[in-house]
Amino acid sequence: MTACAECRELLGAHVLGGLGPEETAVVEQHLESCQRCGREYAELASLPELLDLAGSADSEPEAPPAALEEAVLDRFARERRGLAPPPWRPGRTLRVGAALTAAAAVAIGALAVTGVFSSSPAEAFGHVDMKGRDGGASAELRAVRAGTEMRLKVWGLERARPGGYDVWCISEKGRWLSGGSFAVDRDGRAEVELTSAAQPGHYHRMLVTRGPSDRRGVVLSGRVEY
Amino acid sequence: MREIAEALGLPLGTVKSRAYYALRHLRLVLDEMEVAR
Repeated sequence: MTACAECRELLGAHVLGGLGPEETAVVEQHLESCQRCGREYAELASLPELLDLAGSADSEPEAPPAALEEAVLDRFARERRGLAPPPWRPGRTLRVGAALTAAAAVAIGALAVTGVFSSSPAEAFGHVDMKGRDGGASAELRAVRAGTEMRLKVWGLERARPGGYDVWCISEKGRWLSGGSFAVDRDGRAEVELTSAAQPGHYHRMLVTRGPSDRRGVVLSGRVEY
Repeated sequence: MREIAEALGLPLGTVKSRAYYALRHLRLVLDEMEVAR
């Protein structure tokens, strides 16, 4: 194993303070002499502090993370319509990775959720037309307490994709907020009501992707008209 | 690390390397979400 590879193997544990003195010495010695591993170390060094934010035992109860809230709202909307939720598909992410990501989501939620319950009652404030190579979609956007409720009509999409499609609200800074997921019928059509934690005015584009995680798989895109 | 390895029934080296991959993944997610460093 090269010195760099060995260092990388140990770097995570080192950042988390989990190495013994011998391995610590190996890593520190290598970091002094290797710029690339040094940069890698700098990327990771601040993470344990953020992770501590996620789960301190004496912290005040926080508002729910946006993702959780959105999942609950989405589920509620689905069940009210008598539709089954999409099957849970565990990713191939490592178990430790998933746990840390979840912890991070809580931390991020705590940092990011502001004013979720303070917006005005339902009123249509905007509209979006999305287009793609095949098909298109349009949605009426209404302000609800949790963020945005969208009545989405979709046509012309490839049917029966496992995992379906996901809607995203994109801020001008390029931040992606989930708008929920939907499936199309055999004609490639869908008519659904989804709820996103995205606040009116905080996003200016909407996208539809294949599945929840493939951000390169954008099939539809359009600008929000307020 | 040793405790984690015992709890998960994994070799110690595996826990260490997974800790690295997990932190890398977390960094990526935080960067995508634009959380400040």
